[in-house]
Amino acid sequence: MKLKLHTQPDVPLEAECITPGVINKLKPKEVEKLKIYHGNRESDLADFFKVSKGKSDILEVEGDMHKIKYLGANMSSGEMQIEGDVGAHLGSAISGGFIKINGSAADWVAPEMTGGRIHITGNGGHCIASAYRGASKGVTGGEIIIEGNVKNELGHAMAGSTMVVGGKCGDFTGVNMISGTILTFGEMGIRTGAGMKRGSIICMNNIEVLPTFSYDCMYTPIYIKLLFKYIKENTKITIDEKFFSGSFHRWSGDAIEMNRGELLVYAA
Amino acid sequence: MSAVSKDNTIVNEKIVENATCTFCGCCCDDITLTVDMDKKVVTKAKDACVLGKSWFLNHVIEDKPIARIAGKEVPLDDAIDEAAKILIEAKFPILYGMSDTICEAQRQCAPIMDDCLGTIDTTTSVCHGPSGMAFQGVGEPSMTLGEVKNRADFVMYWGGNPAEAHPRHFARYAVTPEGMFTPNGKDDRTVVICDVRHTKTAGVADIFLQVKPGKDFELLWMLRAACKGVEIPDNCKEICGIDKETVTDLFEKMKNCTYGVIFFGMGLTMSRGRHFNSGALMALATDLNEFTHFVAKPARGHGNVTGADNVVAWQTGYPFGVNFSRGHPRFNPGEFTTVDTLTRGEADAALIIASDPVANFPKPAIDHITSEKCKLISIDTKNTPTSEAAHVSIQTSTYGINTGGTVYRMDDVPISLRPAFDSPFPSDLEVLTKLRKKVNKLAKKLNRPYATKKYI
Repeated sequence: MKLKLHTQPDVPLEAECITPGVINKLKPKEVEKLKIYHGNRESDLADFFKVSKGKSDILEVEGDMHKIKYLGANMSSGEMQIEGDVGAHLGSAISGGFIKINGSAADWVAPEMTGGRIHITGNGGHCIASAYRGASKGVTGGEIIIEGNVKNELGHAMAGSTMVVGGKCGDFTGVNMISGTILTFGEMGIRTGAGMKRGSIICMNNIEVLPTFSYDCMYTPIYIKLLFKYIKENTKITIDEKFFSGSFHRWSGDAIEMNRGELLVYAA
Repeated sequence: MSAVSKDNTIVNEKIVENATCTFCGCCCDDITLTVDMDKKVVTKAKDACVLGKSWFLNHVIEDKPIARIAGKEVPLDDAIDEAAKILIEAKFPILYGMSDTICEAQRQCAPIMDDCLGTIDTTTSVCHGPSGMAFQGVGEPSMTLGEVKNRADFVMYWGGNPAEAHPRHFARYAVTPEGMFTPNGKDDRTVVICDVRHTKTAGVADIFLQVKPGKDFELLWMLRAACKGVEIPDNCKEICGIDKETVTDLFEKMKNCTYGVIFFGMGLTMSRGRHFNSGALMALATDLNEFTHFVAKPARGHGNVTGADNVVAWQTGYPFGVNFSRGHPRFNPGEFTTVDTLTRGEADAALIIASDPVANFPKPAIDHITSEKCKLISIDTKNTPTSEAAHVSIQTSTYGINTGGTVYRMDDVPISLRPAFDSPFPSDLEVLTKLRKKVNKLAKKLNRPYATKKYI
């Protein structure tokens, strides 16, 4: 199925029904009648999107959707291809399937993710794969690749997901992290890994390490090479050849928690 | 009561004992007001601080219309009807402010936004909002100011300047008063001030810590680690600007006091790191309970901003930034807080109560709220840039001077107001009650999901 935005909403539009699990089962006429929420009003999907039958099972969505929230919410299988920028809560509670965005995403990408994959070619906002306010645990699985920059609180309280950022990161990356892996290639903000319990944060740039982290050693973890290989094959993130054979400074932290998290900073 | 003035004329005078000042979050309820009932002015405010005196003595009844639509004077009911129509027709209305009004009036606000399926936000989102988020994240080791007065022997102020913002905080609650277990006042207390610069507050400090700007979190984090047995690092001065010995000594004092308290201000909550800074401070206070009794409290600003959070939390489950678009309350600061909503140009109607966003919000937010895309309604006691820019503007009486009610002190203790004299303007409560009824009637016609819900 193919959806093309024809009318820009004046206020935020919540469209959690735009997900392959819902749309692929329906005929175009039925898709047009799906309910979406324009601010506090219920509208038909056809009020904003032109619906046409696609060539494959991939759900294609096109347009500047920076005011449209909850695209791909609760997705459990299938594939979704988005051309253009998207609003907040993309892939909320996703448990399976693949979302590819050729554009940038706003805040709160994939909160409560338990599985599936998200690939963003542009930038991301704040709180990507972050726990909702008040939740003690964030994403528990899946994979997110962002080729551009992201803002603060990437992977807040994440517990078992893999995240790759090709550009810069804001402050508090991996804050209160429980487990999982974050790999970043660009400049880092401050207070990376504050309050982390376990998990790995790998930084290819030098970072300001919090005083509650302790230096362990310099070493070359094998799994990072596999991760680099995977990224090189699947994304446009440029990976310097020297990274494949480079060593990393390993820091343990955070001492206020269990001190079992690792912060790997590229050495040379 | 009549009295003779200096120029031998008879003055119709009234004395109001134990009046409450609602300028700042201290809500001092021991002020004696002398009121000239003929001129309708407060002539003396005994025991009030410089801010309180300014609040009481400068209050005059202005000669202005009660209600205006597009700048033209109209009857109050017409303005309320117009406001209700705007709000009910809006797709993404927002209600903001409420910090300078009584709890009884604040109580009307959540039902209004529930019926309009809009967003309700208090001024907390631009001051101690991060602390509100931190309460949810790490909990609040709380107390009342009475406990502080009677028990605290270690008092710390972090990122705030109460000497100028809450002038009576020292004398009434935390530094000099003689309490049950602190009979010698300041001599029984260790007073520590932590700030990025030497303010007037630093003058009362036994220990003044000048932390590097933006390094509060690192210092708090080191103190938290010290609670877990980790030594303060040797390069402490390099990290936060304070040497290792001073921080170690501070930690020993915190550990060995009988009752410790930290008050924190916006220097902490609104600097880089925001809710993580407040969270780190409250987590430190919680950690210190392993050694002694330790509490922390934000030193809140406006008179009843604490009440606004309490009322909204009681009615919706969340303190600020609550959205009802889908019929149930959703809390997400950043998504539903006013500055962000306006900056992104999302709101199509705004009801501003006792607040002045047009004067102090960022420019993109002001541009949107004053544009054609957003219908602005203002309910305020004075003329402000917001009330001037508003499509519907309603002038109300001032709480604490003209109208009574309940306000919450910064430590969540409710205090009753004793008004000094009447005002020709209606109270916030009266206006908001009428607006609520009108909005509810319109919502029922539209079969809005919660239009028949009964709020207490």
